[in-house]
Amino acid sequence: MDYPFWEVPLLGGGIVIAIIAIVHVFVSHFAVGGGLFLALTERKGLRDGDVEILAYTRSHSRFFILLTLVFGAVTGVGIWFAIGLAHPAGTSLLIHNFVWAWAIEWCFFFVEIAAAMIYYYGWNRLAPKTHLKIGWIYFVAAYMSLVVINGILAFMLTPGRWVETGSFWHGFFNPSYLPSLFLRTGVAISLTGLYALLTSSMTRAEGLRAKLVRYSAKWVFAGFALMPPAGLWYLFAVPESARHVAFGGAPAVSIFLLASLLISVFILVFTWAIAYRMPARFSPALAALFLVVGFSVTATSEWVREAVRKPFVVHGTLYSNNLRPAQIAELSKTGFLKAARWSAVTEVTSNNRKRAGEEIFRFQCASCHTIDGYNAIRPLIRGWRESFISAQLRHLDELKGFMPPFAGTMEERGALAHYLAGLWGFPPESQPMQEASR
Amino acid sequence: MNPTLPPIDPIPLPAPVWLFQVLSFVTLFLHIVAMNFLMGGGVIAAVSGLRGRSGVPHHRRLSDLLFRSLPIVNAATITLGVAPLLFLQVLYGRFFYTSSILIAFPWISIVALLCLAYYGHYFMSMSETVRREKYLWIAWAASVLVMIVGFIYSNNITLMESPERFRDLYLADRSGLRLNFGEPTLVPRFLHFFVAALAVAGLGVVAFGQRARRPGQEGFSSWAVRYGRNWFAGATLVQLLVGFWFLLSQPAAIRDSFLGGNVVHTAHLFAAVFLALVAALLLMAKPESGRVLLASSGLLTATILVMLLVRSWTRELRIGALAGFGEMQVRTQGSVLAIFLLLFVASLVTVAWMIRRYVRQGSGAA
Repeated sequence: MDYPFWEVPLLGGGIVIAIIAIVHVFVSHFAVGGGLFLALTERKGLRDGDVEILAYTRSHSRFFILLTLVFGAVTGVGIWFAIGLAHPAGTSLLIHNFVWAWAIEWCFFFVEIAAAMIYYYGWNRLAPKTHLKIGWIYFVAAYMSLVVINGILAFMLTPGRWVETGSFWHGFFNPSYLPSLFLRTGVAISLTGLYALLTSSMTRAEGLRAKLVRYSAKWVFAGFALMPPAGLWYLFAVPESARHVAFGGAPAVSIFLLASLLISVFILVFTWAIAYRMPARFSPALAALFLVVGFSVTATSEWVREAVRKPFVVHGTLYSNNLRPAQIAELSKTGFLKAARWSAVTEVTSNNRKRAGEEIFRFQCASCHTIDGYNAIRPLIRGWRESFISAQLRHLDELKGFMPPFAGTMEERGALAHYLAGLWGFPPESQPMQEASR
Repeated sequence: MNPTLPPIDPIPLPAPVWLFQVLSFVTLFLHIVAMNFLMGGGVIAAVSGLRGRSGVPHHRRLSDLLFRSLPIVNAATITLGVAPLLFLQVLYGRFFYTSSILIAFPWISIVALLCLAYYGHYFMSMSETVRREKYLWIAWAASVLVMIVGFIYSNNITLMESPERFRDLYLADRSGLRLNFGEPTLVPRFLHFFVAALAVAGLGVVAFGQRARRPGQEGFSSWAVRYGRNWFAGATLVQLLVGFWFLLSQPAAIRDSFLGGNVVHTAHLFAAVFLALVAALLLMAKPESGRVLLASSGLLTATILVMLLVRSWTRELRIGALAGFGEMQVRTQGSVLAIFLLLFVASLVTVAWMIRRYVRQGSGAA
């Protein structure tokens, strides 16, 4: 309403954010856990005087920086670009609250990038002890950037006491902060194991390969050991409404949650059965398959995390369509179109109902719904009469807990219903349209 | 008529406006320096790559050096770019988000373009000379991608300073596919940055040349300092024209302000031009001298700083009255701010320590 709307045909802006965010999460958690992997594996190589392990660590570090430093870093910036386009009001809210958290994260990011470069370029140049130190500096900086960004991410679902106090610390150390941090730490370690399975399976010498594959599998187990308790804790920390959406309130979300859990168990079992028990047989192709499966878990679980927050961008504070709960009552009296400063029409007249409805759809619904693409509105209202749509709109948030209430006057609600009914060529009314819906 | 603008965010600013302005200024300066090496260095590397491929050994050696450093410069540019973009959003978010949405698709495409350019630079830096010369087009492509990213940035920054056009532009075309071609300052602005990048990177080549001065390497060293000097001086001369065009393309009130209307503004603009010219003259006279390099670098740094001041005054003249800083509430988050400042210093110290170790142990090993 306050900002122009970014139209992304078929997908919607939300999916653009999701695509960038999911690939970023998949790489950035590796960037964190992978730092620990590099430092510990190099330490192991140095302690045992094992040149083969050191050579492997070195080649793994090349893969590591090419993936995390470039793709990880750029997609991280990309999320920021995308949220500014799709949720400008939400981004502004987050930046106003957390600019110093982001600035702190940037300090760690700066050290992280510099350390990664010096670590990679320093293999032949630095004394082993110094090189290992740089590895540890990298890991600490990378983990600290997770520690910081996790506060902002968790805030969006559980802003906690911030809602009353507006205090930075209340928002940052919010109810789901710690469980989310533990959960993400587990994800980072297990994903690191999956990536390491790939690089270790490419090692040529058979004996070494078996040793490294087993070693990498242990990382997967370690990560998975953290996840169940952290996950349960997380579930208890999120708002009741989010739990409701996850457990049956919105069947698609429940199915995705279940899928995410099942695939995780699949990864765990097969890592144990193949990588750990028959490491010599573990091939790069299989490792790549494990990574793809790991990616699908990341994608589904991140999607679930986003979905259970609905209808909010920041729980209880800002809806997904950039409106604030406090604005709804006022807009119902004064009108949405008058306040929607980027709308082409400012009020509903008898001549512009369809156009007005389309504008209301754009600024109030299109953040989540496309017409025919992702989360398409057309199939959702198939066969609905105008009066029925209007009645649904009137009780939107009560009928569907994951949707915000309609904001606007009766005339505006009627115009939106008129526009939506028009998508199916106005299904016939079984009785004359009631005046109330106009 | 007042332009259509989103309202000021109801959440108070977490520190006074001036602090964000200072931090914006400092971090933007760092970003601009890195970006200049990236954009200008990429072009010089690609040109030298071509000449080296056709058999000029000095060019081959120079392109080797430059290609090896570009991934690092790329990382620095992105990392140092995050902070000023963050602070820009605090102060000018309602301008910036709106203009970004108007050019949404070109804007979001930066993510992919940067990624490709970055991988292109890594490919060149990790390849042996033979492979590098075979796939030289990748270096050119990466350079062009970086220039496109810069051009999209110029589009967004000029558009965010034109809020009076926001609503009409949006209602005329909501696809988010446009750029800001209607803006008279767009092309000269981009060229201004691009030519400056060539100059700064030229100075970088002089530094490379001076560092390469070892027994038996005098030929390359004295060639490189002259070659870099030529880029620097040539670009600075071209900049006189481009800069003049950029000035003329400004709205009348801004142009007049820098042409005598405001003494402070005018003095700064001309001081910047003067500093750059002195740097060019010094380098023309003695490109091999370490002292001259130091002096020119100092003068160039001063030029960039003064030009950044000029840039912020131009913004002030364009949208200062609409920025609404006076209406923004401030509720300083003192404790978090203190942590940030401490960590900022700590991160600089840590990175300096790591670089020192790297340089020292490297020279010891050599």
